[in-house]
Amino acid sequence: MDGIDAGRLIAFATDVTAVPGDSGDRAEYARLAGRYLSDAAFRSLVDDILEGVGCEVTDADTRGGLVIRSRPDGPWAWPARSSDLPWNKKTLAIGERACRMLVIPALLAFIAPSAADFDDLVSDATLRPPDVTVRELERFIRDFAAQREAENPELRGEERPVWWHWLQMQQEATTKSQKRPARLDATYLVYDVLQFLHTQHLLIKVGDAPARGSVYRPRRRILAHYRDFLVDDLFTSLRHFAQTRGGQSAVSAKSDGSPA
Amino acid sequence: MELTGIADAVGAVPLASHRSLSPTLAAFLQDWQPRQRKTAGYQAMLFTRLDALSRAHPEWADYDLLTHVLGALHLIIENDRLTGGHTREQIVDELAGMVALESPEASPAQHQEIAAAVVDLLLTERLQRLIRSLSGLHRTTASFKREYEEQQDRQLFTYRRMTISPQAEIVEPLLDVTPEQLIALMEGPLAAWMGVHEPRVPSLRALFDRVAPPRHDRSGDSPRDPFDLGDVRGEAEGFDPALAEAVSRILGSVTEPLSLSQLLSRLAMGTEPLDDLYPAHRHLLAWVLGVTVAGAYGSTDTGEAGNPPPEQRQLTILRTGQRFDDGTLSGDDLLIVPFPEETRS
Repeated sequence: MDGIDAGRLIAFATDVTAVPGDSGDRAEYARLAGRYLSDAAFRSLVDDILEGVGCEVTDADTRGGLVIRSRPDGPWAWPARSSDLPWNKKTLAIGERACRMLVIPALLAFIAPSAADFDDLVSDATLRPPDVTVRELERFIRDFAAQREAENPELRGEERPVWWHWLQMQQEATTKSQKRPARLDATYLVYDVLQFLHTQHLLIKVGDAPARGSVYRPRRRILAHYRDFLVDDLFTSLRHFAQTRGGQSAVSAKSDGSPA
Repeated sequence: MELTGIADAVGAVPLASHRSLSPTLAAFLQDWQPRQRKTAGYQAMLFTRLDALSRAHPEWADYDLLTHVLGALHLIIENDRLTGGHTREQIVDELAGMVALESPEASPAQHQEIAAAVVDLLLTERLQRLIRSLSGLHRTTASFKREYEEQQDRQLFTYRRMTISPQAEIVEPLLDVTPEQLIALMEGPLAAWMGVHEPRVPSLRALFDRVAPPRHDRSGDSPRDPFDLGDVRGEAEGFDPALAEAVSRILGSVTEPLSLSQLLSRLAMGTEPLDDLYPAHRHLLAWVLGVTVAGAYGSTDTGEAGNPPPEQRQLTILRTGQRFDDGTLSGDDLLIVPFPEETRS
């Protein structure tokens, strides 16, 4: 029975849509998560199985379930260069790839701009992350990029930063005057990335609006992914990057609390 | 309350009055007090005997007998817990070493005598009970400690405060780096952020989903161009190129007409070297072979304009009307006819 329970718990934990609750499958998930927390032998069995597939449990509780992280070289890991990921498509120019990647941290900053917002959302299970519309998220990124442009009106040099690449994209291609709207507009790019997250069940699509008008609701589970898998690592990498670049980056300044 | 030897298990407070007390005090009288009276009684008896010993031996006045008694008690309990018990002589010998530290100039015989007297203080029947009770306490403490250590990893799952601001400390710095730098910084973390990649089984449905153009929206509301087939699809994720190479090698080794079922049964017999394939991909080989052969049926490479690559010109596939079903694959048992050697290259 332990093996069956372990398998069921891992099946729940690998399903990002599964949430422990009071009835049906959700109650079963809550029971198994509770058992994982209280039964040392069972926890050891589950941990061993996960270790075998290159994974570890980063968080466990009876309200949020288990959060599983895969080692980068594990058989259950997403290959970092998988062409299934929307920022890795082979037809993309490098600037567009970077802009697509930027949508992921921008989505987090949109729903939780400050550490306190993030903290509130993660710690209080009754709080729901706000809905995100494609156009609003594009505007959110564009505003930061425009601010950078205002600060650097005459950008020189070959190495154009990401904000410059974002502003090179049309915000939204008009569809009435053109028979074939350009696909490379920033709003469509944001839509494409969010739609991919929707197909991966990390976002819930609200309503049935056309592409650029789509609205998405982040699952609470996405916050655990940000907290456990992305923010710390990315912040550390950025600090390291800023230090190796000679300490000129805004990263190191901001991390010390002084203005950029 | 005087502590004289082993007092009554139940003390002066009558049990009948328990109900008028708070639950805490009632539990104390019922459960804790009898045991604590016993322990306190044992301890009082020990100190009485120690007092008698020091009076009987005024020449030992320079020795700290209380420390040696406690040392002996510790040795008995620890040895009992760790190894299941030591003889009186072993404990006396060990304790004599500590006694000697106090007066190194005195004779070893005296140290031995003091140690023996101190150990004998403890070796009465009643004090043995004290030792057993303290050993039990030790075991309980040790089991709590073990349990606590086993539960330590649970502490990993306690709540952790967020201190990093996503907007100011992640997004804004990322806007200032070049695309190349951003990709280098984020490629790995983003793959981790996606979480577990659901194990996938290749299926015809998935293949169809991948290659079919998206559905046409007839409502007219969508700005999507109906003639735009969308992005060029990438290569099938999880499809190992070594599989295609293995299939190409197997088909390249066909030198005389051979049916697909014969080829598959030859494969099932394990005559093909498949060392370059991951074990997890080997079971796909029959499927890929079947699809490749079926895909080559009806190819019009000789009539098509342009120069098809050599690997597409290796085979002619004929349909004989025979069918096969080997349990995993079924369908037309196509006949594979290799091209003559001179035309292959």
